[in-house]
Amino acid sequence: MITAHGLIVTRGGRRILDLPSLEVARGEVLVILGPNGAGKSTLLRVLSGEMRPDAGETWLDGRKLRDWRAGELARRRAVLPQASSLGFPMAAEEVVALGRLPHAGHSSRAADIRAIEGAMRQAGVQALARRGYGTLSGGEQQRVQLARVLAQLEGLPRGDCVLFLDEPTSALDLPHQHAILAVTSSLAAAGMAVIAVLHDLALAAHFADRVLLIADGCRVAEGVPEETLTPDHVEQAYRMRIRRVHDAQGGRFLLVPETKAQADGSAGDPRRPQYREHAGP
Amino acid sequence: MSATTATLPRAPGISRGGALLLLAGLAAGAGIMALGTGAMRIPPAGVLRELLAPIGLTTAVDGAEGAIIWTLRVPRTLLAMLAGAVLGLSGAVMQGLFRNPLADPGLLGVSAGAALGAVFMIVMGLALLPEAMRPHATAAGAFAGALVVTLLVLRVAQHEGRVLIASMLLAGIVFNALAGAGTSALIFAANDLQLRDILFWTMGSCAAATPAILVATLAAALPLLIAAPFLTRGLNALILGEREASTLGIPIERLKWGAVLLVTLAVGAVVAAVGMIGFVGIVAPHLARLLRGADHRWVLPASALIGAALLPLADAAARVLVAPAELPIGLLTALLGGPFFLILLLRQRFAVDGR
Repeated sequence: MITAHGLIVTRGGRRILDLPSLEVARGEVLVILGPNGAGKSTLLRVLSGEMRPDAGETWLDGRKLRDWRAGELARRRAVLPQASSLGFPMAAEEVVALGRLPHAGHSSRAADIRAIEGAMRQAGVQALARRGYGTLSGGEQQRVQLARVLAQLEGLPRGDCVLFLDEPTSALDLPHQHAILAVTSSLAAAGMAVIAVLHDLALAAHFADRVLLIADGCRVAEGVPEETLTPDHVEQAYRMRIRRVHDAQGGRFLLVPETKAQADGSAGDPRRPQYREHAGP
Repeated sequence: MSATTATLPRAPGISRGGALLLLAGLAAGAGIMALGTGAMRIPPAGVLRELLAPIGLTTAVDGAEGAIIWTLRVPRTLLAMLAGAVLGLSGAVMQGLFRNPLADPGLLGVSAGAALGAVFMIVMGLALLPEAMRPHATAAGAFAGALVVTLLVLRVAQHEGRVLIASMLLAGIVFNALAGAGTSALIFAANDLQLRDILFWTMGSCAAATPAILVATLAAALPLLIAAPFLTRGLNALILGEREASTLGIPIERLKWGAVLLVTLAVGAVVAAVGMIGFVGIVAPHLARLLRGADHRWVLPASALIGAALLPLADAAARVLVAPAELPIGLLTALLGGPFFLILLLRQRFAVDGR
């Protein structure tokens, strides 16, 4: 569905992204992980066509992204950024309706209304329809934005669509995080490709089919979460030692920072710079 | 700037289309009232009779009244309506573009540039020009000044092919100050007679309306009036933010360039024709949003119609309040618009505090 080759982005003389290749298939959930400033959002913007790389090329459906017209692209891929405020007060349903803008002239009024209602149902925000967007909580606002993005892709074959999520859950509490990722998982199950930047390693491990771990703009590891999010890979990316804690019931795992006591136990290891000064005699 | 009201203005009953018709009726009524107002009062029925006479629906009223309506008041009232429509519409477009309810075309240096051009013509230009070119020289200078300053602002705000809204704001402040300094320097050099001209130009007036000025202003405003319906999609998407709008397929850079150029052309011509008339560009879109929400498919036409209703009324008031003298219309709009705007601001603050 999405293929990228030789992506390079340079800013201020510094190479902030250098990725030789990447591929995302229909129905797949790819989660991009890495520390702050690793180039996650840059990569997402390049893949979504919001930003042109300095070198390299991205294809959507075998066609170069820059050959897609903006309106055409907007009927295939949607982007959910971090929660944002509105320029002017609007009702939640008006915000969702803005998702239908790319379909003006391509979709009937009845289809638009169906799409808006369907999207609001999926995102679980029907009850908020007439509320002012500015009066909603951060989590509710983000779910309304999710509905807006779903409305944009509603009525299209799921297998043709790509959904980008740029740190969509950073400011949200646990139920809202899971609500948003559960909706996107179900879309992926129906064939949609989903590419997300997340901060929470455990959340990523839970939802991703595949994770891409990057640091300083380069790939550190890529693959299924189980094999990719190993203590060594994570330390390489984040310069911090972690442990994996397995959930006895679900077969899932959590990633937790090593405590000082654990680190002291293996004092002298040069791979643990932040603990070294405490690890004296 | 996010929502401050819990329930959004969405009055029951008439639809947006109906509300627009109502506003159009209001503007037409204001125009008819303005046509009947002045040293010689003519009742609305008389005005209507006279207006419909040329197409054979009625018989004309007596000669003097007819002459006053057609030669003096029709150009003037139409110019006031056109100016009001352009100022209201441009205010709405700029506010949408800047995602800020306080934005107006003046931010880009349109007014300051026009003032510089007009004052330059009054102080330096008129003496140099041949007699035949003098009547419209001030207006031409104002129009040119508005275009030049705004294009400079746009040029400076452009970086790597993108126009940054924040840079546009900063560049606007810089060029506003520079144009203001230039204007002050010219005023310093002006003689008493020129100072009087400058003063009156600054305060704005529709008194100079002639068919030629009306046609020239309409020609410059037409591109904006025609393009406005095509701006609504982009401006609506911009409510979400620039990034969101571009992922919705809106060509943001084209929208910014196009909107700013259209607004500059139209407002430059309006300021050249009637001088500086403040507050219409801010008050009209605010009223529109209060009535039926922020959707630009409503806000743009409603702002234009509210402006077209407000200015002829202000112009009529300017003519009669201190008759036989005439008040500058800019003074009236500021006098009425200022307190109105203050009330809006205070209400908004209370709404925020009251949450």
